[in-house]
Amino acid sequence: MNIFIISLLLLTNVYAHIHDKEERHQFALLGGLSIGSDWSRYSAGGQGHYPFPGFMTRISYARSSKSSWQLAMSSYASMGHFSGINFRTRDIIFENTRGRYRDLKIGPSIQYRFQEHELFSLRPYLGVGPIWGQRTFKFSRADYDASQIENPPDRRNFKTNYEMRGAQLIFGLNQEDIGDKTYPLFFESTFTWLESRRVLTIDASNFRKTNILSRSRSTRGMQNLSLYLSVGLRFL
Amino acid sequence: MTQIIGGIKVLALVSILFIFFSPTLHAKSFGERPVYGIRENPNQGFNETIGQVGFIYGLTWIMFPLFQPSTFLDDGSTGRYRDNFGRLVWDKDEPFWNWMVHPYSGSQLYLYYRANGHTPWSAIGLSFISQALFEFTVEIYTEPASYQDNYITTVWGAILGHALENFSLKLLNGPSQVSRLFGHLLNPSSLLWFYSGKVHFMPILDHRPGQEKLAGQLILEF
Repeated sequence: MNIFIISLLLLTNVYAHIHDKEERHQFALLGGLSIGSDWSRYSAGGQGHYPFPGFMTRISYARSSKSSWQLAMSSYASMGHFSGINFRTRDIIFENTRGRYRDLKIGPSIQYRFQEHELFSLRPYLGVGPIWGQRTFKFSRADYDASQIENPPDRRNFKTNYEMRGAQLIFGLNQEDIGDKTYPLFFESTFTWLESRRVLTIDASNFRKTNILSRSRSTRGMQNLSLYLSVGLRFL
Repeated sequence: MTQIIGGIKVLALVSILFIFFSPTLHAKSFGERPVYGIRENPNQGFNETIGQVGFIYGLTWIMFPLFQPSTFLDDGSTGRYRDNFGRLVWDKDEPFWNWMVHPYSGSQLYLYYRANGHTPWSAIGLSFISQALFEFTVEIYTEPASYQDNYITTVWGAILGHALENFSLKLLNGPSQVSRLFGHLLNPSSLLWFYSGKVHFMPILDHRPGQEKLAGQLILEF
């Protein structure tokens, strides 16, 4: 209830702010493609190091185009394949796994823009902030003890999902506005460090419905360090 | 092999982005005599805006059970509505819903508000409000609101909407009826009057004895 009221108040304020002060305040909408590398360690055994493709988006706000500080909300999405990781959910251990994973991280950051400095005609910026995320592993094969699961689905239709939280560190370079009909470029590297808080086992046999089979606390069940190298455009 | 396929996918995505966002294409789409273009009206009245938000909100109450009848009937209940009210979670839906349906819905919200004359940032703000109203007061009939849906629908939706807007304008101002048809399919809100007055509704009232009729004529010009 409280979240709902706070959200509505925020929504009203955001809209009123945008609507009335659009000329003076600077908002930006960015998106780009990422490549990166991912290092993860799992308490149930195994670690992974995977290069991945992905994409990032960001919405940001500064009091004016001359302001050094800006607030941003970013997302990083990536996907890839995994193998040989063991997963421990509430009472089940999945071993000899193989499949695909997808990862989504979202978090706010405060960024400092070096307005007086240029690097290759680009303005540097530095950001830091908390980040939350979830990583879902969908198995194409896994060994497990089916007796521990009530009404187990087909073994290929399991997902394991980790909810994580951590921090992000951003360093980027962006181009100044160069005209109405072009989109300024930006280059960015982002480090994220996250640790799992919860782990869930999900029946993935029906893509329309989410059937959660178990959920449990998983402090440090997974530790993850990711590096994203992104290039993109400022669309608005 | 997997890396090569991944590389091809990224290359395809870059190509699509280039076509959608290419400034040259965008400039060409407005030839000497552009037919379609956005007419921004930043000074819209509060009542007009509330009417637009209200229209979308009403539409979500109709569209949600229509497009997901089994979820609505099997999983929905007033008890669940009460339980989910005010809750915010990370949902575990498949990428089809979170990474495709939500951005597409967000893009159409953005295009709807743009078609009604709002500036890009006003359209993003209103899309955020509309999708939040759906998440917090409609979808909770079956599941709680989710963090990522609020972000993805608004931000990914705005980027996709911006791309679709540019690309559809190029198609709408193209030489053939086929390109205009695809322009309207990508951006259905381009049929709204704010774009170019291409939609006309004319009431027809006939009082002649024996021939009384009340009808309407809808003209969609491509």
